[in-house]
Amino acid sequence: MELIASSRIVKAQQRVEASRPYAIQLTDAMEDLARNSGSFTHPLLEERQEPRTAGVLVCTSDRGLAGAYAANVIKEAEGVLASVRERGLEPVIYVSGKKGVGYFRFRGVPIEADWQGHTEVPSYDVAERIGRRLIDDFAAGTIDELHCAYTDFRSAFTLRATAKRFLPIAPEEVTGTSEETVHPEYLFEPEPERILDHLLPQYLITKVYAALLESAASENAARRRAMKAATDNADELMKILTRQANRARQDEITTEIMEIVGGAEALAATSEDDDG
Amino acid sequence: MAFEVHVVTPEREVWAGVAETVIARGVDGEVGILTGHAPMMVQLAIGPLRIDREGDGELAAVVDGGFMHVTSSGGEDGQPATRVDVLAAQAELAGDIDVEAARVRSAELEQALQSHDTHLAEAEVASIKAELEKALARISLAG
Repeated sequence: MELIASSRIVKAQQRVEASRPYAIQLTDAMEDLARNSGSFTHPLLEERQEPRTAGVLVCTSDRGLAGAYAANVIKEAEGVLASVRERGLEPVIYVSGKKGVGYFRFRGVPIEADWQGHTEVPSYDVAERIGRRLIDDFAAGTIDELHCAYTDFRSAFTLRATAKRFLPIAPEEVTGTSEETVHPEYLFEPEPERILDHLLPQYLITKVYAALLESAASENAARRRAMKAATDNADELMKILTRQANRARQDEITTEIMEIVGGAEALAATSEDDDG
Repeated sequence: MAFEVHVVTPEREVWAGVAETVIARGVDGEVGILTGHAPMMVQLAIGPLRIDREGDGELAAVVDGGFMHVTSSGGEDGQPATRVDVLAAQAELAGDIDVEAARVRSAELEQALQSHDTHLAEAEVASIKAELEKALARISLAG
């Protein structure tokens, strides 16, 4: 299992890498749009005046045997939930992965929606389904903001449970910091407002997809580590037990030899008595 | 004069190379890009994307909506360097399209539209129609 997980880390990492050009270009396009269109307003960018609820998307795993992977990200999510409650907001929970569903269900915490069966190899389709649902709920007012707790894959050895706010999208996040020249002749087809209508949801879905991919890579890394520890531990145990078994067998043989020798000597002694 | 073109989807970069012309179908009509084009952002419809490569023939692909982003940054020799990025949820090169699968799928979707016309919600009908459009775009390009 350690080997399976190792090979999956590589694949998961490749998927993270492969998703990067799109994310970079999309952000780029959005920055351009923000700079070059006069108005940059959209419901997804607007802070709600009096927020009542906050959605929290928790990215966990479907399977266990990954050490504290699921527990760590759930702990992070609990931190977000606590801070949300502190602000007087009602949390609304969305879960990706069976482990998270099990955790919240066991504690009787209601789950608004959950998605399972994809966490090791998340496809873009799943991200799109999750993203659309979240956008719809945000638009309908079921949630007034959205946070996401996932595991950031820094390297195979550094996995960090992180929480980020996804909605509303902070305008600073997409307008960029570079002071590039504004093109007066910039063309939009159709008008920027309508492009934004498609661009912003796409941006959110891409973020959800990135979170799922990072989580998948982390899950496999965590699993490999757990399985390596388990294998090492089992090897160690086997060594100790083999030694104990050998010693016990040796003891038994020694005792038996002693008994035979003792018995033989006793027999010899009796026969000598008989002769005499 | 050629320029750089990238066709990317969230899952991977589908194609990257150099082209002389790019023709895409925007939601408001066809758009053709030549080098030196003004910076532009186009929302794409489900349809074909044609890339005329320098001396290498035409490359056709199908994109499922998305955006085309044309940028021009200051090039090294004083000429602005044009770059085209096509960002689509799904994109397939003509050579990679499975026409049979697309035919089967379009037949299924048409059936679904006809037989369940009455009890499908409006959103469902719209999504089936979009799927059908994707399948048909693939058939018309590769079939």
